[in-house]
Amino acid sequence: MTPAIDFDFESHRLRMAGESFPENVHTFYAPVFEELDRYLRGLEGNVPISVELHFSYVNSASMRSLQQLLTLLDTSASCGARVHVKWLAAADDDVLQELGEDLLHDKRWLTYEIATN
Amino acid sequence: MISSPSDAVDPALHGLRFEYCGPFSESVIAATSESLRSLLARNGVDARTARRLFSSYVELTYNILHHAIPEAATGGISRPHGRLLVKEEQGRFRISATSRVTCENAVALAERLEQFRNMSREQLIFEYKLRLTNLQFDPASASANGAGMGLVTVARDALEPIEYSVDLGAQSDCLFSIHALH
Repeated sequence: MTPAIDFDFESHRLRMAGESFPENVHTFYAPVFEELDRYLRGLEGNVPISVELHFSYVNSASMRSLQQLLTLLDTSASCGARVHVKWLAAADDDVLQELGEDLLHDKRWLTYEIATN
Repeated sequence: MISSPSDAVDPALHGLRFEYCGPFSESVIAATSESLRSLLARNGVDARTARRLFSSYVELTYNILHHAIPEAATGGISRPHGRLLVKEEQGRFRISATSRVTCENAVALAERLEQFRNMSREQLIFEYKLRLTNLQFDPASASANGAGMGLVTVARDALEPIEYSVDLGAQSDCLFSIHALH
């Protein structure tokens, strides 16, 4: 199962939502990262970038990809991009809320919030 | 199967039961995990337990997909085979995953699980967080298996130490089972 990916580069709003447990994580995420990397490298000025991650389930193999995604965004933020990540999880899903905190707490340059719905 | 009168009052024999035995693929995992989720919801299993069972189901099935010896199926396509069983036992749920693996693989799996069995809950949470953090610094070893995150996730979420058993198979292979309680 793969999440829905809605990267609107023109309005600088990036969104991923749903469940992530594909058989081959690399095959699914590699082209996503390529596109994101191209976008981040082509940024001009310090426009605010809004990233919304709203997962309902993430398996362990997908966690590596999410680490890579957030590291890519944090590196871009260290070079001047204004990246804000909103991690959304169900109010009663402590596992996903904790995962968001675990993945984001050590990122130094981007800003983030963990929200529940 | 003939039920004795004592079976009729034994909740362990009348609780929720979910079983899949056969070839595994991404689509089989997606379909069967969704069936399990529906069954848990229909039976009013609390959301917290249901989420952890679903997660353990996905991690254990992917463990089979990555480690089991492929077996020829109808149509001649070899796929990893295995058996997943979720069984309610006195209000708790035991999930068991069994597959044929090479004995070399069985030794490696047993070593890893033994390591987790000897850890306290706090140590398991620490181990999990450490591996999660390290994923960003270790792109060179970018295997599809998530650096052993799957089994540590199952061990972390289980109510009791994760269990395993190994039996010698018929063809110089090993029958490996992993059990976790939720």
